[in-house]
Amino acid sequence: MKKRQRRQRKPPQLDLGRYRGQWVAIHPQTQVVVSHHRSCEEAERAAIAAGVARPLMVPVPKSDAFFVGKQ
Amino acid sequence: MIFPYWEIRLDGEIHWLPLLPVTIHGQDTSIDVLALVDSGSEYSVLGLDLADRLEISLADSTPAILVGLGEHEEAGEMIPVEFQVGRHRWTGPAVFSAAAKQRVILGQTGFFAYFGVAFRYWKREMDIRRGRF
Repeated sequence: MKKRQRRQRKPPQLDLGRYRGQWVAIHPQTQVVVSHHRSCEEAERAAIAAGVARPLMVPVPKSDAFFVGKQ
Repeated sequence: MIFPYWEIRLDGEIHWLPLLPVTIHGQDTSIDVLALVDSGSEYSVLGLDLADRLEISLADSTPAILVGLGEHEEAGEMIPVEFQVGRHRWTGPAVFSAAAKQRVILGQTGFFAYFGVAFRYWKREMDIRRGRF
């Protein structure tokens, strides 16, 4: 019997330490950081200006890791 | 739908988080954001900056109080918001709060009420299925 194999997807990675308290706009396919700004709108606008029509916006909290984490 | 956990590096530490790309629709506009799928949150929570960006009026919202660890209370405004994941589109309640700056949380009443979610941390993935209610 053929065993169905599922292709292991590489988990998306983001290094966000330097963007605490900001919005980061990433390319939706490559996950490359395109722009960042304290304002969501500004980060998005810069990403669109850089040629990414629909950036994926990533909020990076100033403290705590996303919800309950350690500082 | 299988979605991977995201490997988030913050100051040298690695955090594996169930983050989901979701489209939030507003008044004739929308935005794609990476949201935390949080079964421990009763409501979906969004920052006030997103209400501005999406031109969502909070004039008809219901006042809400957010409480997290430490019993600290924060004010919020609850209103129906239209979300989309892939081809699945739904409208669920969300609380907008100034305290939720740079946070997008998908919680029980706004997300888990519509989807079944199996978290598989050991495989670094979550299986999300639209509920049949």
